[in-house]
Amino acid sequence: MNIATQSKQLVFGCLVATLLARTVCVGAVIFSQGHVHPEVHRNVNELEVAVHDHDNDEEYEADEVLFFVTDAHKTTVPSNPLFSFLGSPGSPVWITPQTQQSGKLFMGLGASELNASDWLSPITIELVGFSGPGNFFLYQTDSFGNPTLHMRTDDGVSPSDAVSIPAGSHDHWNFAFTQPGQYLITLQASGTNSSSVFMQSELATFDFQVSNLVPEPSTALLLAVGGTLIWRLRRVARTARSTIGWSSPRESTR
Amino acid sequence: MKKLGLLLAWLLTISLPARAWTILSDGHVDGFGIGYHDGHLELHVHEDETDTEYEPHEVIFLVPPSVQYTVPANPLYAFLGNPGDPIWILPQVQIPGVLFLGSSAHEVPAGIFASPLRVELANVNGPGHFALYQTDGFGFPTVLMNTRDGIDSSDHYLIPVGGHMHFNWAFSAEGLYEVTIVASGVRLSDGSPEATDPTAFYFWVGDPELIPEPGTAALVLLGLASAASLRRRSV
Repeated sequence: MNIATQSKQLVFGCLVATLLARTVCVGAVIFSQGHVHPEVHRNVNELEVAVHDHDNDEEYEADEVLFFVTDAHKTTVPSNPLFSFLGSPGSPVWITPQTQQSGKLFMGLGASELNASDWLSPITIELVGFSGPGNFFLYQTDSFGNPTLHMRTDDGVSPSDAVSIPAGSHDHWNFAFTQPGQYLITLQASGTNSSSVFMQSELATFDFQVSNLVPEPSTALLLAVGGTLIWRLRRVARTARSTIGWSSPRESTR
Repeated sequence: MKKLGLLLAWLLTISLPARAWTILSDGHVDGFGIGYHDGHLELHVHEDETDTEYEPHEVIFLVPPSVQYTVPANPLYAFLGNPGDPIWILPQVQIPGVLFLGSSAHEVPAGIFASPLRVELANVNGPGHFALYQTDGFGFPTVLMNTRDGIDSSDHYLIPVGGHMHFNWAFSAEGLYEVTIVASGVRLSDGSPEATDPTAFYFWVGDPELIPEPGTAALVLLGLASAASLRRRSV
C-alpha cells in the first residue's frame, strides 16, 4: 500500500485514528495542514472550482477532499473591537491563518491555473450555499492589521459574499469558523473570457470538519460501513481514471 | 581611502543590465524566488500570471504612489516610523493594479534540503528604511526584516521547501533601493550547509516615470553607499 505524503492522509472508507485526533472519514483525501485551497481551473471555455494542493502540485475534485480544521487552529476572539464580528472576546474560534503556520492549513482562493490573457475580467468566486453549526467568515487583514470581510454567513448568503482574483493569481484569507462540527461551503466561479463571453462554473461544495471529533461507536460503525460501500462503488468508477497512486488493503493482501 | 576602494570594487562587481530593466508593476510575482539549478540553490524572480522567469538584476519592482500611506498611531506599527510619517507598502494581500509580491520555494524539489530554507537580509542601499513583515488574522504584525535597527542575522525569514509566502514590503522614502539577500539551506544527504551568492533585487518607490536607466542607477546606488559609509564613519 502506498504511503501517503506527510501533509495529507489518503484514506478510503475508513475509521481513522491519527496521532492528532480521531475522526471518521468517508472516501476523502483529508488535509489538516499545508498550502491547499479551492482553486478555479480548466480553460478559456470552461471554469471549474476544484482543489489545488500547492505543496505537492496536485488537483482534486471538490468532493474528493475533506478540510480538517483541527484544534491546532483553535484560538479565542481578541478584545480588539475590529474583530468583534467573530464573536464576543474570549469565545472560541477556529481559524486557518492567512500566513503559513506550521501544523495548520494555509488556505486561500485561487485562479493560478488560468491564463491571464484568456480573461478580460478578474475571476469572481462567490459563496452561493452554506450549512454549518456556526458561522463562517472569510477575511484578510491589511498592511496595518485592519480586517476586511469578504464572506460572512451571519447575515445570510448574498452576492456580496464574493472575492475577485486576477486570472493566474491566488491570494490568502483567514477562514474562520465559530463552532465545532461539519460545514459545507458551496462556491461558484465566474468571469468574462477573451471572447467577451461570461462564463460560470458549476457549483462546487467543500467539506470542512472543524475541531477534533470522537464519534459515538455506533455512529462510527455506521459511517464506516457506509463509507466502505461508497468506496466500493467509487472504486469501480475510478479504475478507469486511475488518478492517484493507491491500492486498497484488500488488494494488497491478495 | 580603503572604503572608497571597496566601493569601487563593489561598483565593478554589480551586474545591472546594460539595457533598460523590466518594470514589474502588477500581478502576482514571487520576488524572492528560490530555485534549484545545476544542483545548487539560486535566486530569481518568477512572474506567476505569465509564468515568466527573470534574473533578479533584470527587473525592478514598482512601489507606486498609490500605496503611499501614513504610519498609524497603533504602537504595534511603530517599527515603521513615527505616527504620521509617510510610508510606501507593497501589500501582503492583493490590491488590483498593484504588484502582489511574495517569495516562493516551489522549485526546490523535496528531499534535497531540510525544510525550511532561510532567507537573510545582507544589505540595503536606498534613500530610506526597508521593512518586511506579515500581519496575522488578528492584525498583529510579525517583523521579519527591518533596517531601522540595523541589519543582523535577526533580519531573516524561514520558508518551507515547496512553500510560498506573501509579505508587506515597506519603504520609508521615495527613490531607488537595492536589497541584497542570501538564501540558504542544509543538505539532507550530509548535513552540509549551502548558501546562494548575495543577490541584489531592485525596487523603485514613487512615480514610475522617474525610474532611472540601470547605468544611472548604478551611480545613484554608489552615491547612496558612499553617503552611508561616511555617515557610519562620522558616528
